[in-house]
Amino acid sequence: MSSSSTTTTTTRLLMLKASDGVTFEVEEAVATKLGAINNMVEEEGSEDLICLPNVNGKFLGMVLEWCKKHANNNTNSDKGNDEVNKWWDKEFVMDLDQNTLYHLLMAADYLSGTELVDLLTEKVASMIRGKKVEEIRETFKIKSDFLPGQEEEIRKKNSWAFE
Amino acid sequence: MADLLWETTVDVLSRLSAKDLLRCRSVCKAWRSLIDGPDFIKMHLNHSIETNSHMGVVISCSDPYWVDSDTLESTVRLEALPPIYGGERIEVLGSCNGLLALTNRNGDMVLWNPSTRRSRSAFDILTEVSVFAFDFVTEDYRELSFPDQQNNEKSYIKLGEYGVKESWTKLFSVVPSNVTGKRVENVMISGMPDGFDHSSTFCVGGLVGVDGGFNTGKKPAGENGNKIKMEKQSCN
Repeated sequence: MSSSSTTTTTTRLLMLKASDGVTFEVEEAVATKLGAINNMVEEEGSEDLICLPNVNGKFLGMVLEWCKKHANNNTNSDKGNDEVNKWWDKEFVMDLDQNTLYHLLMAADYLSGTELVDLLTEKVASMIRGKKVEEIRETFKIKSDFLPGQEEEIRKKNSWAFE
Repeated sequence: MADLLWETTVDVLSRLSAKDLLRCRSVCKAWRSLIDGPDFIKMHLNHSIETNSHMGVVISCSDPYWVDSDTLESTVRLEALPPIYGGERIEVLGSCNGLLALTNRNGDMVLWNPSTRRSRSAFDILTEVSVFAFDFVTEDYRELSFPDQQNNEKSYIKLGEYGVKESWTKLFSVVPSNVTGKRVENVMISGMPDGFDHSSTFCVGGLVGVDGGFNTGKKPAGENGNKIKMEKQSCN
């Protein structure tokens, strides 16, 4: 499976190979939005095939999809790009299940996609905002390790925050 | 099911409001000790300042309300007020990094963090007010010279707890009455609509972490442990 670039052929194409052997052909300008790839391109220069042993094809594909969208939006008209990107980002994270979100976050982190990491981290934060302690524990699969009474004491101290 | 890396968890939590964090403290021990730690408090403050988030304005001294400065929509009556609120007339001496310094007619003084609703008596601070300065750049203390009382220049003073490396969490700015003889008139209120009564509003800037340095269980080291030193900060 390979995703081919249908836009201009004047830009250089890079081949990215995921841990499971899946390859992606991506414009250099798109791939270098990722800090890790930008570094590799700068360091290795002529290398056209980049192996990414820590990222699975599924998630690499999603990361690249995000990069492409942002790169495209940014080459279009100047005005309203931020709005378009914001809207698209919202769509991008809206239906992510938690497992995908975590894996994507790790992939983006490994690839140094700072903006994408920021977006995904915000998504995780939104899963906590305004939630009850029990809900947070369930979402993040955390078991309370407080002694009996200890938790009650913490709650009592700041009861207004639990209302 | 993958687990979040710890660094990611820290990053996630540093984006939350004080109210959310106060609840997160009771999720598990690891989260609690993270949230209470000075490094996290510093990180949270920096994130708030960088992203301009969790900012609010406290309106009116005797019956304070909190307004979210992003939306100016939700007005929340502040409860669990520090003990200094007891029918007394309250004056706000100044604010910095989300802390307010309050005083009443009796001369009682508290440091109050409206975001976390925590406060601490600051009476002992006043006795040390004119001695030392805390330099933010070098994180060191030096002697402080007060501006001439004849001078109309506004002086803002930041306080830090002596002997603690993380004193920045305990800093706020003050115009001591013995320096200027009047209350703070305008404290960094930007983006407020015209006609807003600045004289009774106090911007609560980047939120200080949950503990806001008010963890009374922790006494700073050294014989001068509990004393507060200050720095003159030029303003406008």
